[in-house]
Amino acid sequence: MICAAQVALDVPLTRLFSYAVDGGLLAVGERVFVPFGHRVLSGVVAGLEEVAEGSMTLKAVQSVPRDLPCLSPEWLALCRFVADYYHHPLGQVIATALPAVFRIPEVFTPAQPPLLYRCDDVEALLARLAARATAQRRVAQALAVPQTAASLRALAAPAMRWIASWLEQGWIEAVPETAMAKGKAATNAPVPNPEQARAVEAIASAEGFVPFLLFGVTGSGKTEVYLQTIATVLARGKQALVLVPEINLTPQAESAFRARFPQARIVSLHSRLNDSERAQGWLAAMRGEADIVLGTRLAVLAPLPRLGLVVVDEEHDASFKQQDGLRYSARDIAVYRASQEGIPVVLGSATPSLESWRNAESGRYRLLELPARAVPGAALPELRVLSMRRAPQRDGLHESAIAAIGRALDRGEQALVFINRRGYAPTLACGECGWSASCRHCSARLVLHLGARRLRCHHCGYELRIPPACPDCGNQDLKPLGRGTQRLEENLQALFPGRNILRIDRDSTRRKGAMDAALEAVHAGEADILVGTQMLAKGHDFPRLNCVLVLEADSGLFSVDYRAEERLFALLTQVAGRAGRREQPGEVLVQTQFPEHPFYAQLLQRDYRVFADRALSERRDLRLPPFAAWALFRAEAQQLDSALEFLRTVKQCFVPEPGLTIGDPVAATMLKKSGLERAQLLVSAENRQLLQRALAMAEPAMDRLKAGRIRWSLDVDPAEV
Amino acid sequence: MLATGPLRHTPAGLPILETVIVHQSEQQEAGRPRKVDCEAPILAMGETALALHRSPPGARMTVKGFLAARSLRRKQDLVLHIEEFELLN
Repeated sequence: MICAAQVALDVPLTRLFSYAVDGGLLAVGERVFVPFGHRVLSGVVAGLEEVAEGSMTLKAVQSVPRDLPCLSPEWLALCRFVADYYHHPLGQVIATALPAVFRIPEVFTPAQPPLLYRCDDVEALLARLAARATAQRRVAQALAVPQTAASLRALAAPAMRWIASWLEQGWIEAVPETAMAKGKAATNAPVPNPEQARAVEAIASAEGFVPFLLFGVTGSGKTEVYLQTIATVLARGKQALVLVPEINLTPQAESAFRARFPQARIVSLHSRLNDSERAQGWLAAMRGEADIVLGTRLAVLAPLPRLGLVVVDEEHDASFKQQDGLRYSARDIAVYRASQEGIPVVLGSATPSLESWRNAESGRYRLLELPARAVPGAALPELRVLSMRRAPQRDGLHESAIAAIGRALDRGEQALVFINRRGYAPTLACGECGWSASCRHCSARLVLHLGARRLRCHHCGYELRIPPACPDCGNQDLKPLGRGTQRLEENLQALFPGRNILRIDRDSTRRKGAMDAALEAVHAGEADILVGTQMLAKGHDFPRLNCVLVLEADSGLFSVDYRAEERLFALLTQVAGRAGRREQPGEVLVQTQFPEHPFYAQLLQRDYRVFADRALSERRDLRLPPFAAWALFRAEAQQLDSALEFLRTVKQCFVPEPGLTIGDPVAATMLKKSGLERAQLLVSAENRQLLQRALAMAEPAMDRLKAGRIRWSLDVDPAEV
Repeated sequence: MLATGPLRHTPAGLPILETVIVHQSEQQEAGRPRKVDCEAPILAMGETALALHRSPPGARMTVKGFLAARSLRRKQDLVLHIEEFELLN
């Protein structure tokens, strides 16, 4: 008998691959390099078996790098669950979970132990810096709490050069992350209000697996509940995993956590770290050295041997669902992990997803409520819906909205104008013949970017110079159609001359550190009016912002996606939540062409329950998730017909069963994307168990399908259809 | 020309001037003379727009060009596109 290792490899095949193990001991969970065809691949040993000598010829494991401690059976079991649930090969699940350096057949040597930088006397450091060196001052100010190189680089790209010179001068110090035990005392935790105290108490005293839904209005202090609960977890010697939706929120959250827990080792995991930083953070989590792991969705797959609590902030956020490759929902995996570990999990939101809301209603989740704003005296802002029909307006802005912004500015406050569309205008059009600029690869309009003098496709990245004349009729007087952030910025500047208008969208914050610089300008009061997309909707706390105007919200009301209204409600609630987080009452104005739509009546009631209950009863009647479990097959091909044909063969892999509905292949809402035509096939089941059984039964037949040049994928619990 | 009006630019950077021209003349109609007094919207692009923009408001001129529809939906609403013009006196 010889020993063979079953290795999970990053290849699109569901099976494991057997390799002979020569002599040396090999454990399950070990990273190995193995020959695969003409290449060498990195894989993970998922199992060991005895095979009779000579029964088959096995290639041998080439080498064992031992740069990664053995992955635990619990972690492998988590990967297996994810592989089974999302019907994705185990090797690819593991590859998605592992940092990049552990996916390639090269031995990883950590550059140097990660250092934290801090300054005991920030005032003295600031005094040494030029008053106009704003970027340097920003970095210096951040050093009041220990910072990693990654978060300093996020503040300002050349930060590490300044750090090196300040270190040389002895103005600041660098401490290995592992030696951070003795730091400054923690900033004092504020006294929680009674609701916060009850929530902390409930979570801290939970035994075993208890899922909590922390439903708190914007500004109600959910973060404080997380911080105080985590304090109790750390006191018991356990690790806490905190998931945040957006990468832009991680430095903010990291600073808050470091200030509160100076003695704890905090590791952040997100895709903006370089490979080595991410690998080191991951190793710290895996070895149990990290006390708090803070990250975006990918952090949910980090191995955590002493895990004691999982927190998912803004649990309704769509970014927790990965949209390509392994299409997992980090929130759902977080709940699963908590159930496996027998620990509490906290899902927090002001507008919980309807899935979680239903679970809370049915008693599966425990509902914790924070009904009031945490800052004493801070009230929820006043909300008004402005009908744009036959209304007096200038540049598409309602006169009373212009007046409200003017009043806020006169009071010395800031105003936010929200429009969820970047660029100058959604397209460029010829008014005389009706032509408009469309992408040659997608069923989409090209967006006009006036500053860059370009038309860009926001779906595939195709771009071209602004055409001098209409390609159809030759008219040179082409006009921007509609309005995006850049045009709004221009309009506002004309309406409010002399005021500083700051635009924050993906184009204005493309450069590293630009987002933080912009946020800083907002806090420093350098901006009077903010123009922003959904990037500004979440998490930010601007004390002087009291007036919010929302434009072009209506598009969410007439979408073919049944989740669009839920997302719009969440988005508007988040945006409105930016106003009046301090003592002054805020004002929120929403412009609409459809003021009589029931959606706005519910928004005006300011009660998420009313909306959630109505939306849930509609979903129940229509058998939509969460009252059904969905899996969506997507296929892309040069021709729609071949994509549809392929999906018909997929459909035939399923065995009809009561409670299972297998739809017909249909063209996708956006037919063409990046030059390929797209089709989809929906499989709907009464519940998840039935769906999983049907998918598992169809899998062997699907494995035999010949896709040829058709690209296809399976999305379990799709977020968008 | 009534007024010079502000110049605007297309997204591709081409200057465009839109204003109104006044026309006064005597014409023959069905064998009898009559007066004509009308105003027409005009549009000029590029160099012509810049040159028109430099002309003083109220300048008298002869213009040459063509008629085009204001937009797809307003085909009866015509705009005089000016290609050439000559200042008088």
